[in-house]
Amino acid sequence: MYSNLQFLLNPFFLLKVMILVMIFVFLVFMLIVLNQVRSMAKRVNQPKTPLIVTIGIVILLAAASLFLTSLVIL
Amino acid sequence: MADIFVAKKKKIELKDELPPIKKEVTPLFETELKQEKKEEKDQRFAHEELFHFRNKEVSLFSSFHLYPSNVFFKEQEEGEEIILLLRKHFMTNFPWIAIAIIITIAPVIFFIFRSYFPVPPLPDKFNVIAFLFYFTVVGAYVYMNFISWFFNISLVTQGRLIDVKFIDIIYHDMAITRLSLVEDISFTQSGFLRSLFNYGDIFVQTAGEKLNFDFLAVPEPDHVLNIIENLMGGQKDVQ
Repeated sequence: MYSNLQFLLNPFFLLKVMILVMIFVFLVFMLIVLNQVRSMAKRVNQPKTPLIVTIGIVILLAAASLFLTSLVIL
Repeated sequence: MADIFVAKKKKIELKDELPPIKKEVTPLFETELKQEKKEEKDQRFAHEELFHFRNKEVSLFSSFHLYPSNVFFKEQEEGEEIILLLRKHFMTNFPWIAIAIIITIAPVIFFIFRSYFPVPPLPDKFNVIAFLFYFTVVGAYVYMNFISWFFNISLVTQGRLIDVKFIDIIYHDMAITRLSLVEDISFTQSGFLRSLFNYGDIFVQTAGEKLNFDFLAVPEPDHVLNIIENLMGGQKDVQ
Protein backbone atom coordinates (compact mmCIF):
# COMPACT_ATOMS: atom_id res chain seq x y z
CA MET A 1 0.00 0.00 0.00
CA TYR A 2 2.80 2.40 0.94
CA SER A 3 5.25 1.16 -1.68
CA ASN A 4 4.82 4.43 -3.64
CA LEU A 5 6.16 6.41 -0.70
CA GLN A 6 9.35 4.42 -0.43
CA PHE A 7 11.27 7.21 -2.18
CA LEU A 8 10.84 9.32 0.99
CA LEU A 9 13.34 7.08 2.72
CA ASN A 10 15.84 7.38 -0.08
CA PRO A 11 18.91 9.25 1.33
CA PHE A 12 19.41 11.11 -1.95
CA PHE A 13 15.87 12.39 -1.80
CA LEU A 14 16.44 13.61 1.76
CA LEU A 15 19.70 15.24 0.66
CA LYS A 16 17.89 16.97 -2.20
CA VAL A 17 15.22 18.32 0.15
CA MET A 18 17.90 19.48 2.58
CA ILE A 19 19.83 21.34 -0.13
CA LEU A 20 16.64 22.96 -1.45
CA VAL A 21 15.60 24.09 2.03
CA MET A 22 19.07 25.53 2.67
CA ILE A 23 19.08 27.47 -0.60
CA PHE A 24 15.54 28.72 0.06
CA VAL A 25 16.50 29.97 3.55
CA PHE A 26 19.55 31.63 2.03
CA LEU A 27 17.35 33.30 -0.59
CA VAL A 28 15.01 34.71 2.07
CA PHE A 29 17.99 35.91 4.07
CA MET A 30 19.49 37.67 1.04
CA LEU A 31 16.14 39.35 0.36
CA ILE A 32 16.14 40.73 3.92
CA VAL A 33 19.75 41.91 3.49
CA LEU A 34 18.93 43.66 0.23
CA ASN A 35 15.93 45.34 1.84
CA GLN A 36 18.16 46.64 4.64
CA VAL A 37 20.74 47.86 2.14
CA ARG A 38 18.02 49.70 0.24
CA SER A 39 16.80 51.42 3.41
CA MET A 40 20.36 52.37 4.35
CA ALA A 41 20.97 53.72 0.87
CA LYS A 42 17.92 55.94 1.31
CA ARG A 43 19.20 57.25 4.64
CA VAL A 44 22.75 58.02 3.61
CA ASN A 45 23.48 58.46 -0.04
CA GLN A 46 27.03 57.72 -1.12
CA PRO A 47 28.43 57.67 -4.66
CA LYS A 48 29.21 53.94 -4.63
CA THR A 49 25.92 52.77 -3.12
CA PRO A 50 24.44 51.66 -6.51
CA LEU A 51 27.41 49.34 -6.99
CA ILE A 52 26.80 47.76 -3.58
CA VAL A 53 23.11 47.25 -4.38
CA THR A 54 24.02 45.72 -7.78
CA ILE A 55 26.40 43.21 -6.19
CA GLY A 56 23.64 42.24 -3.72
CA ILE A 57 21.17 41.69 -6.57
CA VAL A 58 23.75 39.55 -8.42
CA ILE A 59 24.19 37.31 -5.33
CA LEU A 60 20.42 37.07 -4.94
CA LEU A 61 19.97 36.10 -8.61
CA ALA A 62 22.79 33.54 -8.32
CA ALA A 63 21.02 31.95 -5.35
CA ALA A 64 17.68 31.98 -7.17
CA SER A 65 19.15 30.32 -10.26
CA LEU A 66 20.90 27.76 -8.04
CA PHE A 67 17.58 26.95 -6.38
CA LEU A 68 15.87 26.39 -9.74
CA THR A 69 18.81 24.39 -11.09
CA SER A 70 18.89 22.10 -8.07
CA LEU A 71 15.12 21.70 -8.27
CA VAL A 72 15.49 20.45 -11.82
CA ILE A 73 18.67 18.37 -11.83
CA LEU A 74 18.66 16.78 -8.36
CA MET B 1 20.79 120.77 -37.92
CA ALA B 2 20.86 118.13 -40.63
CA ASP B 3 24.62 117.34 -39.98
CA ILE B 4 24.01 116.73 -36.33
CA PHE B 5 21.22 114.37 -37.18
CA VAL B 6 23.51 112.28 -39.54
CA ALA B 7 26.23 112.03 -36.91
CA LYS B 8 23.77 110.64 -34.38
CA LYS B 9 22.67 107.95 -36.86
CA LYS B 10 26.28 106.78 -37.37
CA LYS B 11 26.74 106.38 -33.62
CA ILE B 12 23.70 104.15 -33.41
CA GLU B 13 25.03 101.90 -36.21
CA LEU B 14 28.32 101.49 -34.39
CA LYS B 15 26.51 100.47 -31.23
CA ASP B 16 24.63 97.80 -33.17
CA GLU B 17 27.84 96.29 -34.58
CA LEU B 18 29.55 95.98 -31.22
CA PRO B 19 28.77 92.89 -29.17
CA PRO B 20 27.06 93.66 -25.91
CA ILE B 21 29.47 93.59 -23.01
CA LYS B 22 28.01 92.15 -19.89
CA LYS B 23 30.20 92.07 -16.88
CA GLU B 24 28.74 90.93 -13.63
CA VAL B 25 30.34 92.78 -10.82
CA THR B 26 29.87 91.08 -7.51
CA PRO B 27 29.19 93.44 -4.68
CA LEU B 28 32.20 94.14 -2.51
CA PHE B 29 30.67 92.71 0.68
CA GLU B 30 29.91 89.38 -1.06
CA THR B 31 33.50 89.05 -2.26
CA GLU B 32 34.74 89.75 1.24
CA LEU B 33 32.33 87.18 2.65
CA LYS B 34 33.55 84.53 0.22
CA GLN B 35 37.15 85.35 1.02
CA GLU B 36 36.41 85.11 4.75
CA LYS B 37 34.76 81.71 4.27
CA LYS B 38 37.74 80.47 2.25
CA GLU B 39 40.15 81.69 4.92
CA GLU B 40 38.02 80.02 7.59
CA LYS B 41 38.15 76.70 5.70
CA ASP B 42 41.90 77.01 5.18
CA GLN B 43 42.41 77.68 8.87
CA ARG B 44 40.23 74.72 9.79
CA PHE B 45 42.26 72.39 7.61
CA ALA B 46 45.64 73.96 8.05
CA HIS B 47 47.25 70.54 8.44
CA GLU B 48 49.23 69.81 5.32
CA GLU B 49 48.80 66.08 5.88
CA LEU B 50 45.09 66.44 5.23
CA PHE B 51 45.34 68.25 1.90
CA HIS B 52 45.42 65.04 -0.13
CA PHE B 53 42.06 64.00 1.39
CA ARG B 54 40.28 67.10 0.11
CA ASN B 55 37.90 67.30 -2.81
CA LYS B 56 38.55 63.77 -3.97
CA GLU B 57 35.90 61.40 -5.25
CA VAL B 58 34.68 59.17 -2.43
CA SER B 59 35.93 55.72 -3.37
CA LEU B 60 34.54 52.36 -2.33
CA PHE B 61 37.26 51.81 0.25
CA SER B 62 37.86 55.32 1.60
CA SER B 63 37.47 55.76 5.33
CA PHE B 64 38.40 59.42 5.78
CA HIS B 65 37.11 62.19 3.59
CA LEU B 66 37.09 65.96 3.79
CA TYR B 67 34.22 67.66 1.98
CA PRO B 68 32.95 64.44 0.37
CA SER B 69 31.16 65.10 -2.90
CA ASN B 70 27.78 63.50 -3.72
CA VAL B 71 27.21 62.41 -0.14
CA PHE B 72 24.05 63.43 1.65
CA PHE B 73 21.78 62.06 4.34
CA LYS B 74 18.05 62.02 4.82
CA GLU B 75 17.87 64.50 7.70
CA GLN B 76 20.25 66.99 6.07
CA GLU B 77 19.13 70.57 6.51
CA GLU B 78 19.15 73.14 3.75
CA GLY B 79 22.61 74.66 3.34
CA GLU B 80 24.16 72.13 5.68
CA GLU B 81 27.51 70.97 4.33
CA ILE B 82 29.18 67.67 5.19
CA ILE B 83 32.71 68.46 6.27
CA LEU B 84 33.95 65.06 7.25
CA LEU B 85 32.99 61.49 6.37
CA LEU B 86 34.47 58.80 8.59
CA ARG B 87 34.44 55.03 8.57
CA LYS B 88 36.46 52.49 10.47
CA HIS B 89 39.99 52.15 9.13
CA PHE B 90 40.14 49.57 6.34
CA MET B 91 42.61 47.54 8.41
CA THR B 92 39.75 46.64 10.76
CA ASN B 93 38.38 44.48 7.93
CA PHE B 94 41.45 42.27 8.03
CA PRO B 95 39.97 39.45 10.22
CA TRP B 96 36.98 38.74 7.98
CA ILE B 97 39.08 39.12 4.82
CA ALA B 98 41.49 36.50 6.22
CA ILE B 99 38.57 34.20 7.05
CA ALA B 100 37.13 34.71 3.54
CA ILE B 101 40.47 33.78 1.95
CA ILE B 102 40.76 30.66 4.13
CA ILE B 103 37.23 29.44 3.38
CA THR B 104 37.77 30.12 -0.34
CA ILE B 105 40.94 28.03 -0.39
CA ALA B 106 39.52 25.30 1.88
CA PRO B 107 37.66 23.35 -0.87
CA VAL B 108 40.83 23.27 -3.01
CA ILE B 109 42.82 21.84 -0.08
CA PHE B 110 39.99 19.40 0.59
CA PHE B 111 40.05 18.30 -3.06
CA ILE B 112 43.83 17.75 -3.03
CA PHE B 113 43.74 15.71 0.19
CA ARG B 114 40.34 14.07 -0.40
CA SER B 115 41.80 10.58 0.01
CA TYR B 116 42.47 11.35 3.69
CA PHE B 117 38.82 12.25 4.41
CA PRO B 118 36.15 9.56 4.74
CA VAL B 119 33.59 11.08 2.35
CA PRO B 120 30.70 8.90 1.14
CA PRO B 121 30.49 8.78 -2.67
CA LEU B 122 27.82 11.12 -4.04
CA PRO B 123 26.52 11.62 -7.58
CA ASP B 124 28.28 14.41 -9.45
CA LYS B 125 25.17 16.59 -9.64
CA PHE B 126 25.07 16.80 -5.82
CA ASN B 127 28.74 17.71 -5.75
CA VAL B 128 28.24 20.47 -8.32
CA ILE B 129 25.26 22.00 -6.51
CA ALA B 130 27.03 21.80 -3.13
CA PHE B 131 30.14 23.41 -4.65
CA LEU B 132 28.17 26.28 -6.22
CA PHE B 133 26.08 26.83 -3.09
CA TYR B 134 29.21 26.90 -0.95
CA PHE B 135 30.75 29.70 -3.02
CA THR B 136 27.47 31.65 -3.10
CA VAL B 137 27.46 31.54 0.70
CA VAL B 138 31.11 32.67 0.77
CA GLY B 139 30.19 35.56 -1.54
CA ALA B 140 27.30 36.50 0.77
CA TYR B 141 29.63 36.36 3.78
CA VAL B 142 32.05 38.80 2.11
CA TYR B 143 29.17 41.01 0.98
CA MET B 144 27.57 41.22 4.42
CA ASN B 145 30.82 42.03 6.16
CA PHE B 146 31.63 44.65 3.58
CA ILE B 147 28.26 46.42 3.81
CA SER B 148 28.50 46.35 7.62
CA TRP B 149 31.72 48.33 7.24
CA PHE B 150 30.49 50.49 4.35
CA PHE B 151 27.29 51.73 6.00
CA ASN B 152 28.81 52.21 9.45
CA ILE B 153 29.70 55.85 9.00
CA SER B 154 30.06 59.04 10.98
CA LEU B 155 29.49 62.46 9.50
CA VAL B 156 30.55 65.87 10.74
CA THR B 157 28.76 68.93 9.41
CA GLN B 158 29.13 72.59 10.39
CA GLY B 159 26.64 72.21 13.21
CA ARG B 160 26.01 68.53 13.83
CA LEU B 161 27.54 65.11 14.42
CA ILE B 162 25.81 62.15 12.77
CA ASP B 163 26.54 58.57 13.74
CA VAL B 164 25.08 55.83 11.54
CA LYS B 165 25.31 52.29 12.87
CA PHE B 166 24.62 49.23 10.77
CA ILE B 167 25.38 46.09 12.75
CA ASP B 168 24.41 42.49 12.05
CA ILE B 169 22.02 43.40 9.23
CA ILE B 170 18.91 43.54 11.42
CA TYR B 171 20.07 46.45 13.57
CA HIS B 172 20.60 49.93 12.25
CA ASP B 173 20.50 53.17 14.10
CA MET B 174 21.12 56.83 13.33
CA ALA B 175 22.01 59.30 16.06
CA ILE B 176 22.37 63.04 15.54
CA THR B 177 23.58 65.69 17.95
CA ARG B 178 24.27 69.39 17.66
CA LEU B 179 27.85 70.55 18.16
CA SER B 180 26.55 73.07 20.69
CA LEU B 181 25.47 70.12 22.88
CA VAL B 182 28.92 68.51 22.87
CA GLU B 183 30.44 68.72 26.35
CA ASP B 184 33.66 66.80 26.05
CA ILE B 185 35.66 65.14 23.32
CA SER B 186 38.67 62.85 23.60
CA PHE B 187 40.52 60.22 21.64
CA THR B 188 42.41 57.03 22.42
CA GLN B 189 45.03 55.42 20.24
CA SER B 190 46.63 52.39 21.79
CA GLY B 191 48.16 49.26 20.32
CA PHE B 192 50.74 48.42 17.70
CA LEU B 193 48.42 48.27 14.68
CA ARG B 194 46.63 51.46 15.66
CA SER B 195 49.90 53.34 15.94
CA LEU B 196 51.25 51.84 12.73
CA PHE B 197 48.19 52.63 10.63
CA ASN B 198 47.26 55.75 12.59
CA TYR B 199 43.72 55.07 13.68
CA GLY B 200 41.95 55.34 17.01
CA ASP B 201 38.70 55.83 18.88
CA ILE B 202 37.04 59.19 19.42
CA PHE B 203 34.65 59.58 22.32
CA VAL B 204 32.18 62.45 22.37
CA GLN B 205 30.09 63.23 25.42
CA THR B 206 26.98 65.25 24.83
CA ALA B 207 24.24 66.88 26.84
CA GLY B 208 21.66 65.57 24.42
CA GLU B 209 19.40 62.53 24.50
CA LYS B 210 22.20 60.23 23.46
CA LEU B 211 24.97 60.82 25.96
CA ASN B 212 27.87 59.20 24.12
CA PHE B 213 28.99 59.26 20.52
CA ASP B 214 31.77 56.83 19.74
CA PHE B 215 33.65 57.03 16.47
CA LEU B 216 35.56 53.77 16.69
CA ALA B 217 38.79 52.97 14.82
CA VAL B 218 38.67 56.09 12.64
CA PRO B 219 41.78 57.17 10.72
CA GLU B 220 43.70 60.35 11.71
CA PRO B 221 41.97 60.68 15.11
CA ASP B 222 44.05 63.69 16.15
CA HIS B 223 43.04 65.62 13.05
CA VAL B 224 39.40 64.61 13.45
CA LEU B 225 39.55 65.87 17.02
CA ASN B 226 41.05 69.16 15.84
CA ILE B 227 38.42 69.60 13.17
CA ILE B 228 35.52 68.97 15.56
CA GLU B 229 37.18 71.20 18.12
CA ASN B 230 37.58 74.02 15.63
CA LEU B 231 33.94 73.65 14.69
CA MET B 232 32.76 73.82 18.28
CA GLY B 233 35.60 75.82 19.83
CA GLY B 234 36.72 73.83 22.86
CA GLN B 235 39.63 72.35 24.69
CA LYS B 236 41.40 69.18 23.65
CA ASP B 237 41.68 66.19 25.98
CA VAL B 238 44.15 63.73 24.50
CA GLN B 239 44.67 60.45 26.36
